[in-house]
Amino acid sequence: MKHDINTLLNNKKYISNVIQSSEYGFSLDFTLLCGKAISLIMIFSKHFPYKLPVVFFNEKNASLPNLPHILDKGYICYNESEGQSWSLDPSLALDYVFMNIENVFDVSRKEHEFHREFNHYFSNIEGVEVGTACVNSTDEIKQINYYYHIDKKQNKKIYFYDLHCKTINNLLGANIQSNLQGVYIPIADKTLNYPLPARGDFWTADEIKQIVLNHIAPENLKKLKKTAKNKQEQLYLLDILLLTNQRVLIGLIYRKKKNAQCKKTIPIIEEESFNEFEITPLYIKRIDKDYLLQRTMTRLNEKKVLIIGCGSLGSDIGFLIARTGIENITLVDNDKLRLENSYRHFLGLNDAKYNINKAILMQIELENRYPHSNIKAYKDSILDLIGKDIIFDEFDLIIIALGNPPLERLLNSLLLESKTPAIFSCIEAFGIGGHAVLINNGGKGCFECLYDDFENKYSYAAKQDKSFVRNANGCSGAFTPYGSLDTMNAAVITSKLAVYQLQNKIVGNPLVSWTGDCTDFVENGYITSELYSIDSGHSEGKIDSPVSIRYDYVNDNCICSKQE
Amino acid sequence: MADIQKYFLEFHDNIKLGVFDENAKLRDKRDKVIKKIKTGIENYFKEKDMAIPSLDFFDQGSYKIGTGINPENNDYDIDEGVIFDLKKEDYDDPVEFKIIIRDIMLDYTSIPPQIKHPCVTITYSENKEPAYHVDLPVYLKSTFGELFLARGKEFSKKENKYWEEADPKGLNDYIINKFKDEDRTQFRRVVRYLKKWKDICFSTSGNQAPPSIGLTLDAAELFSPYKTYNYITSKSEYVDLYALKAFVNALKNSFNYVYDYELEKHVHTIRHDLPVKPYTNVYKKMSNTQMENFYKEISDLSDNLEESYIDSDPHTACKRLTKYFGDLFPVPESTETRYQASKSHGPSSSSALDR
Repeated sequence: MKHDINTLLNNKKYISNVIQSSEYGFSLDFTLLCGKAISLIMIFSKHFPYKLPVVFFNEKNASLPNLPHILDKGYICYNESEGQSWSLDPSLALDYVFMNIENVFDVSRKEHEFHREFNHYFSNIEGVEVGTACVNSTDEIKQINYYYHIDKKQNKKIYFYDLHCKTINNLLGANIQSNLQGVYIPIADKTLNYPLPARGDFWTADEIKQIVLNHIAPENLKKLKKTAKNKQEQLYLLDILLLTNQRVLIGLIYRKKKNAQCKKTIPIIEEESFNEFEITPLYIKRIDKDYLLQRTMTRLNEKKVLIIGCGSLGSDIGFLIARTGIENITLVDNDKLRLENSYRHFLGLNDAKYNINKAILMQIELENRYPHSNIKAYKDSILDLIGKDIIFDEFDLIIIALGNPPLERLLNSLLLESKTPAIFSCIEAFGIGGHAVLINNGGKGCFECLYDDFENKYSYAAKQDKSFVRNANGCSGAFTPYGSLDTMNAAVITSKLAVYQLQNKIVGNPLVSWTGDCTDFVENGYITSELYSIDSGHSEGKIDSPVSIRYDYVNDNCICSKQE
Repeated sequence: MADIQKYFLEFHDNIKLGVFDENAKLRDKRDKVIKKIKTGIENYFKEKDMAIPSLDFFDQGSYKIGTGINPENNDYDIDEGVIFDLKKEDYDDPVEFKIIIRDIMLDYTSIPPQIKHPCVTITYSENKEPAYHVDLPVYLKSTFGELFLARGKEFSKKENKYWEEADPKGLNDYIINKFKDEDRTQFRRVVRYLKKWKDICFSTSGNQAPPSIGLTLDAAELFSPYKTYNYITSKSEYVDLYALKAFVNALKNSFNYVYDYELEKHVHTIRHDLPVKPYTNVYKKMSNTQMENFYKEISDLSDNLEESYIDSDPHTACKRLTKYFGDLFPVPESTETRYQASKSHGPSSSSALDR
């Protein structure tokens, strides 16, 4: 449905002088709430109001205001694309547009907004080059290395890194050795009363000098004065604290012009050198740990987690845990990844073809994907490792995904002695559900509580003679049938329990259970237990998996109660 | 910090009374009074067979300085000084000349002219209500060239009738020359704002309200012009709210804090001596209680000017000021009235903009 935009605009009291210059283009005057009027050019889309118009400041009658969100050529960035929605009534959509334009002209937030947009402006400066940095923020000036990398397309790229950083090797797939050194300078004066480069201009050499001299601590100034060099180029990284409390890293390359003097200098602060150097600003892409981890929510990077079992469930858990930002993960599995597991394992065919141990493959993949992770992998059986390479007490949390109840019961008894919190996670056949129990988190309750002498009392499969185990290839090909969605669902619930425990949000030792769809189970001639009926409730949808949390599973005669 | 300069300027246009050049009606009244007095004096001295003294008329007060405002109850006040080129040493009774002028103007208006302590007041009426006052201070020269103001009412005691040294033109010059060009224009606006505030917030009877000359002199001393760079117009622009707020705050801080033995408590008092002869304190007619009230009102005004200054919403910023400046202060519509858009912040799947 096409809307008569001309009429819509003319109906607004705060708009005047509407001139339609093309099918979707308009120029108009907009009177702000403060009474001042500005001239705008608006270009609508045929999908309006699903798509909002592009708005420009009309420079015909006034010069471009020096405000954040108003870019070169007058483009007004009035709508953040993240998380906004507006009315689809065209008249109200227009109100939304102009209300946001009004905010752009609200000068009271000017300084804050300039700072918020700093990176964006900086990237638009004429002549700016791009670099990548894996440099941690510190309060002291320090030397850093940099390296020029020629990529496959013969493009020259610059990388900065802390003196002993290994991440850069991962990134470039080679062992980098560079003796080129730059200087990292933290600028942390919160008052920040220097103008930020806005719209194309960059700081002059003198302005940079003032910024550095006026905003660094005296001890840092002393260190800076010792960095004089006589080199063709000198590079600096400035780590600037903005009003928004974010830090932004920018690079400066000082390159000697022809006929420059041949002597030691610190071009960033020595006025005599200003004429001898060409300054090139560098927009920096950050890959240091703090920066990358900002985007995760958990802040648990210092924790150490042990994952026993890297099968279908364990591999899903391993990746989920690594993605929360937890860096120190130890993996144990004594099995190899086989081709037939390609659809049931987080790693797929490309890794399975090597016929290598699962834990080792996981380690390689995790370290490649998540540059700051620190993964250890053991291909032995866990029982051989306990007390030697693996000491339970050295971990903050242990996750067991073995799918081997007797072994798990043994580990449970060993873990009760060590007191390290641990989660046992398992899945039932045909995806009818799964369970995760947390132990050693205070009070009674453990994996053993779930069992009386013969069986798991909390199983969703009723006691029956028929075995669940499928067999496609005789004994060597046995597997319990469930799909990858079942393992991922189990992994998500288990990982959430793990993260909440590490954040001290869990009390006691809960048994967390979830039910899934039982159609396949029943069609194959099996019977679900009464507990399944209770827990699955009246859920009709196959998509949800109701989660139950129990504390009453505790068996007072269990070994964990005797310990108390 | 909303930009409400436009609304201040609109308010100013609503309240200002132009100088005579702009206001034909008042100019007309003034000219007629002058003419009548001139003729009257000529006749008076002719009849007595005395030399006719030359008369010098000059504008005084807010009309001269450019700080007049439309009065609340339409009661306009014009100050027109009359200087007789005679020596005061020759005349014992200062009131003599006031009586002469009063008599000249006797049947000129329906309401009879009054002799007041510092001047003769002619009252015009419109529809039987007083509409214009013309205050005529009467001056004589002296042997040494200075001016003396005739003080005293018709039936005052002898000690209350006297010649007081004066320098009305000096006072005018002092105030006018304090600031130049656009700075002076802002100064005039700020004085007008404060005079309007006085009309709104103080009772007109007696000495409850501070005298305008006091406010004007305080402004001459404490006001600083203020302008700032406007990011929308890319030009330098005066910010009246800031200048007004800074002046009012300085005025508040200029009060003294003294102990009043009669009231048995501390009070705030204010004093401002004329910068020209006779150097008297323009606030001398206010009692301590009245000055304490003045302080309370100026403090309240100061706080609310500050609130409006930091308010980022033009609507609430202006609305707050109507309490102090009356309904002639314009209030723009609020954001809610103007824009009927709902703004929601639901999560969206588009990732944040990266380079």
